[in-house]
Amino acid sequence: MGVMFILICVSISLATCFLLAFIWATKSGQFDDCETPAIKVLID
Amino acid sequence: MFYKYSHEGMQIACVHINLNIIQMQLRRFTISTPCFHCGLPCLKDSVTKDEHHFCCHGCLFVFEILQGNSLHKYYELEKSPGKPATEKSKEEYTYLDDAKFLEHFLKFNEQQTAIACFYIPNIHCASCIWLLENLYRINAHIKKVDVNFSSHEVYITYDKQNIRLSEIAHLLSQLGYPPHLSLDHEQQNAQKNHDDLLRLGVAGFCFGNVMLLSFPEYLSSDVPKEFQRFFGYLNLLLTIPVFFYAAKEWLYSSWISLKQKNINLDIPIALGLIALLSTSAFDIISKRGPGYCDSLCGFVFFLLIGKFFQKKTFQNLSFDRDYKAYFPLSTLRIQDNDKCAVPVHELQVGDTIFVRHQELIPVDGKLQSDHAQIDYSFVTGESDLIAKDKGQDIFAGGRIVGKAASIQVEKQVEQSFLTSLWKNVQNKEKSAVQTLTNTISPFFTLTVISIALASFAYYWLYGKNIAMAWYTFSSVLIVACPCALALTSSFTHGAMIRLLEKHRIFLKSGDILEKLAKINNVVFDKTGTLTSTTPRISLIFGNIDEQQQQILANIVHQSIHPVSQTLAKTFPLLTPIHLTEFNEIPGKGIAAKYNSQDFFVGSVSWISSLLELPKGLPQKISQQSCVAFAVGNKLCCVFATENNFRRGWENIVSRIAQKHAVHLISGDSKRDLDIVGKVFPKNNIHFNLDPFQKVAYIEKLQKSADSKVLMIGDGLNDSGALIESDVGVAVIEENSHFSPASDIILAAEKISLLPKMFSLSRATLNITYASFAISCIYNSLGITLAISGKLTPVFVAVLMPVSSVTVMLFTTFSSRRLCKKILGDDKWE
Repeated sequence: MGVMFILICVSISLATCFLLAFIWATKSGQFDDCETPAIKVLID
Repeated sequence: MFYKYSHEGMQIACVHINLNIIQMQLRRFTISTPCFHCGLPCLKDSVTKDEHHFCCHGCLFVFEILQGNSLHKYYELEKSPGKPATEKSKEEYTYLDDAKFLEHFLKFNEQQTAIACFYIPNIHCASCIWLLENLYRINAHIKKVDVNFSSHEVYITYDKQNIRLSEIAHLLSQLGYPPHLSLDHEQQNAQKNHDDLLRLGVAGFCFGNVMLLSFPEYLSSDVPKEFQRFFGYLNLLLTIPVFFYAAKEWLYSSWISLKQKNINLDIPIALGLIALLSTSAFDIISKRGPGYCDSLCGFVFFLLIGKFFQKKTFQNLSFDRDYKAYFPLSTLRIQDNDKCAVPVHELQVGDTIFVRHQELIPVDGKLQSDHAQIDYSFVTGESDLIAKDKGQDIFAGGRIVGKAASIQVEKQVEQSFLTSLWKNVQNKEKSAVQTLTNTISPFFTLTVISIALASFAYYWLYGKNIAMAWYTFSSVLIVACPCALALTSSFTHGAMIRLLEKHRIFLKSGDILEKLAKINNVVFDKTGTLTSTTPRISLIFGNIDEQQQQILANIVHQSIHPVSQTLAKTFPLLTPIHLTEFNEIPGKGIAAKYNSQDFFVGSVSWISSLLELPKGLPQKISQQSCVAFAVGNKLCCVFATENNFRRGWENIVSRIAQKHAVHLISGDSKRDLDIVGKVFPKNNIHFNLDPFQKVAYIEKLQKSADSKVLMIGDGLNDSGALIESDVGVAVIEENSHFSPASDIILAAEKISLLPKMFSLSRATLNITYASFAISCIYNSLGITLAISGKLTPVFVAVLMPVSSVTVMLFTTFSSRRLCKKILGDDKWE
């Protein structure tokens, strides 16, 4: 059962990486405009 | 039976399609081909190039620029995507290179490159985005352009050593995308805040993980001890950011309101949060149990969702405009017989400025030209032009019509008559109407605290069990968290704001709806609110054949007088002719010659001085608002320009009048008294009011006991009154992106929904009451268990989300149902 401790620690730190990625994405303004990229992708 | 029915249906459908085709063909023959660039109908002698038709040289010009830079794809993405080029000279933008303005428009400024942000209202389709992002192909010094479609902003990265900002602005306006330049807009968008999203993200992350770690506890009670402890500590660790970061706002706000000795809804929330955290920490550290971390995180997460949902900003609409938004940024100053553009706020007393046709006068001053005609409709609501002579005082806010005028500055922009309108009113805070939630929350808080104290006292004094006393005390605080109270208003308001948006009614915030229910006086403005901004022309004498109509159209299309412009809208120009003579006499009319025959269009008194009027003319022909058309020495016909009252306005007013006192205040002259007198009570009709008198009128109404006033108006002349009133409703026409400061912005064609707004606001209150009742049921259940000391973490972890979700679903669905029932299902009109 000891392996559970390691696994949970690993999974939570992995999840934290995703949280950090989310924070970085928000701060760099990726969620500011959700409309224009949707139109742009159809142009080319 | 079925066959016959469907067959008939087919036939009807076919006829319908045929009609459509015929209509389309008719349109094609009468109005001819649409312009390849902008889609407007082309005239018979339109410009043609490469087999494409253009309505004007402005459109052709843009087409040529684009073709010259192999940007033809612009026309492939969308059909007729463009707007005609605006005729602005390069000099008009030179003021942008002034350091003061650069600072405002530049987001980034280093040695080589700079990034400028412009607001461009004309962006409307995929072609626009494509063209703007390919600007670098037209001018190599523009490095990169980023378009934000929803907010109509463009970010332009350019090489500032080789191209100036004014040149970019000029290029944009040449292409039909003139930037809207005002300092007001820049300030408004200065800061973008990501905090709400980040908080929601963090709370969501912690909530999910805590739920996972708490899950074993829910299923069985014999989780191995070492796991229990490990999970407990992890939970506690994950709860800390939720408490100190995500829930910071509620803790802070309740602290502030405690300091001000005023109980708001944040206090029970903060109390609950503190009780949850301290109990959990105590339980986990002292190895008593798993704690309430899951409930805490869930609670904060739901609160944040509610907050996120309630906060809806409408891009392109601004509810807080001040005078800066109205004024141009620059004006032409005459210095040593030379005109140069200067920023408006740098004008000094004694300067002479030059204001052209359709430009706004930015300052108070004295007229230096011999004559000027000024359109003050925007400021006063009065629709007739005002003629001024040399040396007369001129107030800011008017538009010059016709010949350009030079004006000597007497007061700086900040001190003008118009600006003082804002400064006087803006210092006053809007009276905060107590919302239902705020009224209830002190009772709620006091009840919860007294129940908690009572149970504490009971177990301490009678049961002599101090541990049990603490346990029940914290349990009551935990379970009585005002989820439902807090979520009710956020979800009802959020749902309402979104539903109303589909009907083109925009609310500044949700609690406006609760304010509406308390309104008992409704004040209308006339011009632009009850009437549409374009007057209507009606033939009151004589008749006019098709050929004469075209001659009249040709004459009035060359004039810029508002009456001519109205006539021009009624009689579209189909066949351009060459007028051999054209002479516009200010204040009188136009004399023109075609095929050696004389034509006169103008005021009845002027025409009557030229020729003998026939007998039997109707009486009202002598009024000022009439315009006569004469051919040779014979009167052909007389038109009356009337204020074009909106369809069904009587109905709207009389429906509101059933439950509220209605008033009419107008800056216009009394000519429509007969029409409005039928609907409004005689004592409540006031004409000839200037903007300050309008504010005073609202103030007077508010002074009488519990009178809450709603003002509905448009334009600058009502802006003071809109700010002063308890609820200000601004009416906007389809094509203008301008509205004065207000609480509600209403599209002009949706004004008929105004009476229904009142029923909607009462319905909103009913939803709130019902949702409070639901939360009372859950709370009493929870509190009963808490007092009896049987509250377990698992029970709380189930009860809290269930009660929150019930409230969320109930408020969202009932708002949706009521909104549909009251406003009808006409949102796709």
